[in-house]
Amino acid sequence: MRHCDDDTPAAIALGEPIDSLDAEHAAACTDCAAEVEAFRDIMKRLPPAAGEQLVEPPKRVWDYIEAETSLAAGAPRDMGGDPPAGAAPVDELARRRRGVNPWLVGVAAATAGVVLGAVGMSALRPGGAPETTLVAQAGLADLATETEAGEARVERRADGTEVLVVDTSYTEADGALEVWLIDTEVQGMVSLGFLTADHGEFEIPAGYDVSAFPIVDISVEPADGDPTHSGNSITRGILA
Amino acid sequence: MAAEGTGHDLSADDRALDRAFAAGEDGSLEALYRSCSSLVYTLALRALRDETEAEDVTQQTFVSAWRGRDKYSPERGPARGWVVGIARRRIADALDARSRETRRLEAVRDEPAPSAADPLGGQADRIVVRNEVENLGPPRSTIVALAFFEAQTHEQIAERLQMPLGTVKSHLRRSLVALRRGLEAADASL
Repeated sequence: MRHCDDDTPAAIALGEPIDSLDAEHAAACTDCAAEVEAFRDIMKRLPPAAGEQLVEPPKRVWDYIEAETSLAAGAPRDMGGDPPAGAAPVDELARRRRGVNPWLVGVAAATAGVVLGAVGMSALRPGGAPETTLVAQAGLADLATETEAGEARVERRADGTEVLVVDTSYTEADGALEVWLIDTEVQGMVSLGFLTADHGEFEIPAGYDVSAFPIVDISVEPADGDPTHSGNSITRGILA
Repeated sequence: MAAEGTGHDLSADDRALDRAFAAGEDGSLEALYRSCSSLVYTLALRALRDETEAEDVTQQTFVSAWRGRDKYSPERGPARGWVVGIARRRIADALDARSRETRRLEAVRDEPAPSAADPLGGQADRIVVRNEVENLGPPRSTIVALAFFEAQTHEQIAERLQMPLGTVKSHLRRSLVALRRGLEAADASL
């Protein structure tokens, strides 16, 4: 049996006169009748779309995608100067964090719950000589339940390096947990590494001052190779 | 069933793009971006009502699509529909994150946050349809717009575009065939 060519059902749907053999066939053939119906459905969907206007994204969106995907392909890329050791490329994060506006509100809310640290308090060795100095600390609040989720401390070691010490009740079962320091404007952030146990210590890269990056944030990161913040924070606190 | 016809120029382009994208060829992501970035951005913008969040969703969608291209198979349909599926998940994620923040802050909003499950309802379909019409390219996008958005007769269109009536009708038939294929892909992701 000869079916209609692929133009004919569309022509029938559009109400055009067609070859009488085709018309007879289309009326009798369920396959061809279904084709005609499919085209009629599309014709019904068209007029309501008249009022929609598509909006083109700004050019920077493509620029970002191009930079990210050429980086993934291993293409050489100007990182804009060497970032501090351990830092994720800040230029990428800087672009990304524009999309996480809810943080700004979240941070403001977290500020209300800040646990003020006794700055400068010393932890003493049994021998009496100071080993580490407490620089700042923060209570961590679980963002979903608003309950306490542990604490974070910044300690300065005898050699001058600073360490973020995190104690939480989260486990790896909660996902891959990445620890970040974020600035007060939520304009910059640095990844310190992954939290793999209820206790973690992370050296703060030289050049990062915790008074300028006082927000401790722990995010759940998908294993997608994307070095940027997922936007999925589970806890946060403000160092003071 | 309709046999494979000739003159499927636009569909053939689409298929070439789908294969190039699956193979990770240079320039294929940019071509895919050109064909549906406005669709992704507009869907995100209408659902999230925030330009920076919509930009972020658009970025994430295309970066994820590129990195996950080994999970895409051209046999299952056009890459454009697959990308829209990713975009819709990203939009839902962004709405989820926002509603978590909202609950956390117990903020009172002027209007309820849209549901992540179906934030746009019928509007998503209208945006998808509009994008498919734009993707027809001139003169077909213009002819379809005149016929279906402005309800002009085929004769009026022929006169307005200084085009033989038979050519207008032929373009409309070919447009319906192309729209059907494009919309099947998009529908699968809705």
